[in-house]
Amino acid sequence: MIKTPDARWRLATQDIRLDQFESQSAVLFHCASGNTHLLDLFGACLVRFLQQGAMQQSELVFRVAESLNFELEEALQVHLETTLDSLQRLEVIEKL
Amino acid sequence: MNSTIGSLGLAEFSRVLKTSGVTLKTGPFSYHIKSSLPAVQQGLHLLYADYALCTEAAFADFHISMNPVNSLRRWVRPKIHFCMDHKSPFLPMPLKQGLAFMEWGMNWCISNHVNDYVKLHAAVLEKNGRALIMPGAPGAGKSTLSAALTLRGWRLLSDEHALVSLTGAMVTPLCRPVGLKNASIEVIKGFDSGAVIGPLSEDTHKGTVAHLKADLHSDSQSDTPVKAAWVIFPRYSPGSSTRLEKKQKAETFLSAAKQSFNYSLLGERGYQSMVDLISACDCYDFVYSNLNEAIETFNNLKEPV
Amino acid sequence: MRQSFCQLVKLLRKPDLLAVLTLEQWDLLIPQARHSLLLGHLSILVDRQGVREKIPSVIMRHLDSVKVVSDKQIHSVNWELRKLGEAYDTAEDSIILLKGAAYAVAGLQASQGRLFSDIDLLVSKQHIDYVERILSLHGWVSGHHNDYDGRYYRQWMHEIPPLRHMQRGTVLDVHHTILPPTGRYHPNPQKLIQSAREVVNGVKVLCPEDMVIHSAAHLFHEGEFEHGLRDLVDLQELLAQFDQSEPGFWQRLVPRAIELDLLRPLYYGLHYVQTLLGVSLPDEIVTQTNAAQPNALMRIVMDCLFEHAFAPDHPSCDRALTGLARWMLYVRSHYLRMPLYLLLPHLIRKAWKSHMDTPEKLELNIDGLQLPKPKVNRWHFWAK
Repeated sequence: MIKTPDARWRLATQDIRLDQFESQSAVLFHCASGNTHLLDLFGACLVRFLQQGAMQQSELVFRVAESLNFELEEALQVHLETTLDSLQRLEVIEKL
Repeated sequence: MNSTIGSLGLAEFSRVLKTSGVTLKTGPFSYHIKSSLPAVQQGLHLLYADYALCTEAAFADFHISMNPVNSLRRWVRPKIHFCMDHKSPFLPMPLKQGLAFMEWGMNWCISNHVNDYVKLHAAVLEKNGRALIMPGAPGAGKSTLSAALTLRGWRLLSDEHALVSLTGAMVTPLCRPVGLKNASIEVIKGFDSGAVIGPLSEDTHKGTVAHLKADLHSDSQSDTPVKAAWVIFPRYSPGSSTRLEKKQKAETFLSAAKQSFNYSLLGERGYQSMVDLISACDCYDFVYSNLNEAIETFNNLKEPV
Repeated sequence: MRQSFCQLVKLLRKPDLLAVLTLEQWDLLIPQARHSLLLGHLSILVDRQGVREKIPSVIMRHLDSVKVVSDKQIHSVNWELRKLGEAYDTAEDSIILLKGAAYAVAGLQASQGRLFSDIDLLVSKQHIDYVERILSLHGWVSGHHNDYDGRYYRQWMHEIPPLRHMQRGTVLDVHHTILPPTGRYHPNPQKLIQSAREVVNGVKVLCPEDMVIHSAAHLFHEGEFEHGLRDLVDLQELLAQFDQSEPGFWQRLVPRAIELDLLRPLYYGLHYVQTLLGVSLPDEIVTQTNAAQPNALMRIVMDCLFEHAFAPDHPSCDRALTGLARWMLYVRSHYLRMPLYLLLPHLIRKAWKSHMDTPEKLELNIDGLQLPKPKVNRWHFWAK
């Protein structure tokens, strides 16, 4: 997949609920659509950072890896990009 | 005066059920019931014997009736209608499925018309003031397990509907007979020879169905809410060892929501209800093949911290 | 018109009775309201009267449970609208919502507590094939219809067969006019489209006069009055709202009905909200619409028929002639929709079909429980 080198992301809506009961996964409720989603720890962390404000993708990816104590290897990078794509399709986040 | 259904003789109870009807209160809901079918009359008289007898209630939540279809067919393959508020929402069923049809119809009333709780398709039991919720995928063996637990000291709160409060993780009791299918009928008869089991309904889409009288506690009729403590997904697996494994709470959330009649309908309120429930409970997957071992495992459950 | 003995109609005429109803009266009222799709409306009336604390919670739970459904439908149609807007995007035309979905999107009081099952759209006839193609690209597909039903819809009626979304399950009824082209009345749909008002993002609703006229025309051309009382309540709510919020509404109403050649249905609508529901109307409106009333004998016949037809479909409201009245109105509505040479074969075919199957009835499954398809998604992300 061809990606814009460094997209800037933000929440598409503030009208979401995110609850993380334990470390590995979280549930997200998208109020406008009424849909509920299961996110893994990365997805939850991405959303939490974007809840604080818009961010460049490079910075976002770095901060997520750092806060979860993971090496930012290529596999993780790909997974985070895929996650961002999925969150965009779910209309949770959008590119600026 | 508080007399019970069982205090009336079968003949008299049948006469009343056929003519003016009887109001039955189960948990927070009341049904005004009328039926001319002997299987339904006998089944209700046996399975609800200890429920209060009420013939002149001013109000009932649901007015249901079960009577033969009036047509030429009734001589060949007699069929019966279930009606709620004088409307028949279902295709007619064969006469010999009468009691099962009645119980299913009573379930349908709740699943289609009640939205002041989040309703999960689950069995619910109580021990020491805390509620255990067992969401029920078909074939999981939830009913057999909840029948056995009921016969071994747990109080059955519900066989089909967990009525979860919109906030605070409370479950409201709705005690009705436990529906058993096919082999589990004999399993429960073998498990406890004192079990009171109603007449068989044969050739249903689920096979043979019978119901266990489950109001064995002095406060089985109570509708006082109980705080939830455990959400456990049972799975009967022949020959397997008994295994209780912790389940991720977020996964539990979604699995339970998928077993809900109105989670999506309630929107954000439904979401909040599930957040409260899952936060308050310890969550497990449970695999078993031996009922006694299963009961022992459940008896050893600790309350969540 | 003779006063109806029906509890529900009495209450709609005098909502202040809500506070003083006995449990026995509620015991009758709730099934009547449920059958008439007005249980949610009672919840709204309770709040308007401010008498919630006076009504036992065992009663309010029934009213509020239906309101939950209604609130969800309003929420869902607003989301669906966004998807429709993404799918259907032409410069020359817009989507025009009709009836329940329109009331919801426009935030009208008529939408509160009201249930609706499908989303009704009006588009220009020349765009209908285009619209159908675009919608199918975005997941709305036609259900299984045999050839006869397909022809019935397309050639003789005013809509294409309903489209259902493959994932969300929402149903769209796409119309190119508001009454069947084979019928007696031919309101020009272009006039309706031109006067429509945008509510959000290229989505429009009919202007207030057209909404009222459409509501009346729809009701008095329908053959099945199971929800007739609810439709009459719609009309009552629309009139109450526009009376307050639309300057010049009453002055525009009758001339517009004349322009659309729908004065007779408007007469019926206003006549029955007045006589059955006790709504008071401006004198000049009554005078103007009375110009379209049928002759005295026909008025007596129609009053008698509609009084039966509007009664809730519950045994407590049935009288000796109720079934006959409903059947006569059913035939009448089809007579209005299609000429006799088409009507008779159609009626025979429909009677045969209803004898052979009962498509509305449910099959029981899973212990009598119908689990709805949940709006829950699992996205399996990678975890180390």
